[in-house]
Amino acid sequence: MFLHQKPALFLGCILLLFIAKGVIFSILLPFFQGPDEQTHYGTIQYRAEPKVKSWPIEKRPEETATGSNIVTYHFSEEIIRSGQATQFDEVKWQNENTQNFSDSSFGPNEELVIENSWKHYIDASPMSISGTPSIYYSLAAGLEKLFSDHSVFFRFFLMRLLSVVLGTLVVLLTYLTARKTGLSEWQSLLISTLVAFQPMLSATAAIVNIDIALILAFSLFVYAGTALLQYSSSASWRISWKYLTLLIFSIILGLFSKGPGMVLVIVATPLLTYLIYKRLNISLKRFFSGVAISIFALSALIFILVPKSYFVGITNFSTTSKFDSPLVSLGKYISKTIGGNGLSITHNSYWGNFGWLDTKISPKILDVIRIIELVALLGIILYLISGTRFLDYARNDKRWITRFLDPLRRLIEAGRLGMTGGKEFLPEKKYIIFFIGIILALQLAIRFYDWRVFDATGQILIGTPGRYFLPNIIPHILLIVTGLGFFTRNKKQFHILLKILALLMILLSLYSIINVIIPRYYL
Amino acid sequence: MNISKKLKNERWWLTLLFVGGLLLIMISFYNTLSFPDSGYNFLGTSGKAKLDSGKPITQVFTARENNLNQIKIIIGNFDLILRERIDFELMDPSCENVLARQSANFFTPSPHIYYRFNFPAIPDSAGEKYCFKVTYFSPIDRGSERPYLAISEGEQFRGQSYINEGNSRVYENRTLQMRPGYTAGSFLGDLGRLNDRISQYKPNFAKGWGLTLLFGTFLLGTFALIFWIIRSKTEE
Repeated sequence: MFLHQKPALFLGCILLLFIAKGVIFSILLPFFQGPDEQTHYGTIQYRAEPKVKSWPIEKRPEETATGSNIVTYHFSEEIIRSGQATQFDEVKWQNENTQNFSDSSFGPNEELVIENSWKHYIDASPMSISGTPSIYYSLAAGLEKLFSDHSVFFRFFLMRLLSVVLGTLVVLLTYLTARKTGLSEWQSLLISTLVAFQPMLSATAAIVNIDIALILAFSLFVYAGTALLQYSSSASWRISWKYLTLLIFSIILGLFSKGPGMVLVIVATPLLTYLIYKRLNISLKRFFSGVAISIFALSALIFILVPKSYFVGITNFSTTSKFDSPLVSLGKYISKTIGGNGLSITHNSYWGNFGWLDTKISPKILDVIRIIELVALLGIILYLISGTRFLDYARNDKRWITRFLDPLRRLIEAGRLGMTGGKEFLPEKKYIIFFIGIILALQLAIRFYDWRVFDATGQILIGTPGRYFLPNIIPHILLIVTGLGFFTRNKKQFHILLKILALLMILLSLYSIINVIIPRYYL
Repeated sequence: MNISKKLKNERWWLTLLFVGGLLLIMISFYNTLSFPDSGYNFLGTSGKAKLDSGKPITQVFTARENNLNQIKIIIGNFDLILRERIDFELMDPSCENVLARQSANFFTPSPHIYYRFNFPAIPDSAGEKYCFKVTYFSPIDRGSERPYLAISEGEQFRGQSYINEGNSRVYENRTLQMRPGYTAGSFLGDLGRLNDRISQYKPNFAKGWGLTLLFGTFLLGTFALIFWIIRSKTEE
């Protein structure tokens, strides 16, 4: 087997396949049928405009935009007319509707759009564009300027291909991160396959959006953080500096991708604290004194340097609450987003709800995924407490509280489940804790911001669609394989498990393309 | 090699897992491969026509093309219990002679958006009128939780109507949310037509043969990847 002898070549194949799949996804999703694509593309067009406008800008009422009519948005004439020609409003959110097709490979209004003389710039104020300073917009605006004389379809799909390129880097970083956790080349390749074929990542990396830049920033951060943890006690300063620079770069990239990039600053603090502690080799007491002083100094510096309006903006603390108390507001928010089927909606759009969240994979498949994830969660918990003093407590302490924990001890020690042996083939626990930390931080940050908006408006305006949590796809997949891997007896079984998961993920991806997306939009 | 030895070798059951999954995907795709009318959308006011046990809902429609082979219909509360079923019938315009019939029951998977009623293609269907009849049978009264057909009304559906025998009413200027579908006559012909549909409103590099080449490369590459995953030596 030629490929089997060349992991690098095989990794290249996975990356090429991801690109091919990304291009297919970008073609399958009709024009502007990714969430908010028209606004993202409008922002890109605006950024590609010259700084000094040579055309009159008409002042229009601010509150005219309605979700169901693209004409009411203050975009360029080209975006509005192209959206109308491709039946944007009819197809969006309404999965029983499709575009009107002709009998050839050219749509009934295609010529009209290609040979248009519509304005590429926005001549109405206030503009219906995003205010986020994202690196994605900057790169895409460069492409928009470079290919300004091509058709809107060409330019728009070029932006989608930009997302594919960023997504490909995420797959590459998956391999590198898995290697840093101590997994073998072949195990890391299988884990890269899992990420490369996760359907929602493929879809998010095939539409015009800024989430993909944030996913890349998080992936880079996870890679650099994992590498720093790997070298935390042994490597030379030179190696540490290399990854530290990469870590800082990923944070900057995150901050200039999308709001939740701020989470990277928060996660970097305990990570760096731990690394310094390991490096300095000092007493815990002296170390914590130093940490307290550092946190105080850092907070003071942030307070002085960062404008207060920024904190007010991300916390919404200047707004008046629609509720009697914060507890009431929080309770209602939780019941709406986590209670009922709130979590299920997020879960669905994390694994497969395409387009304007109107093209779902089967709930039965989602149930199977949920079971796999729950087993993995149990495996992670057992893995973390296995080999700790907890087991001794559970065995010897007869107080009532530890009696509840005894079944867990029995489960861990159950020889017939194959869990008595060492788990050297799994990533070390320090990586697992890091992965859990970054996942919890992003969850809390997104839900906190969403709650603040809910508190001010009484409505779920931002929401928690699954793609908001895709920045943690690498730690999430690594946690799943580790959790499931805990139930395997040895490296061979773990390898077979990875093969099964990789096959299932490829099947899920093929199913999403062939049985979900194509029938929704074309059949 | 006998069967027990084959099963001990993980390559065999990994192959079985993949081939089984792929077969399910392809069968499902084959069943959906029909090209519905796309000249209208269900805009404006929509509603529900509740199905009463043993009382059919019928609508007469005109086929726009030859080779009519499918009717897509939106059904709500499709979670049928044991001994419940929904019959779909294609009939002549007088709703008397059955041309094709299909039943959905407890074992029928929930539809992805539309339920698809498939039947052998009718070669000279263009311009012909047909009657589409849906009848629900249930041993219990599920009240408001019983299945329903989605309906639309509005100017664009002027002249259309459906009859609900559950309340013996004719609903004028309304339509069931249904789309008649047509085949090109062969599997390859259908794939060609699908290629055309996907190509529309796309840049030139993503049209026609470019698209075919891209899909072909992706599928071949994916199968090669799967072959490697299955065949590669397991680390010990």
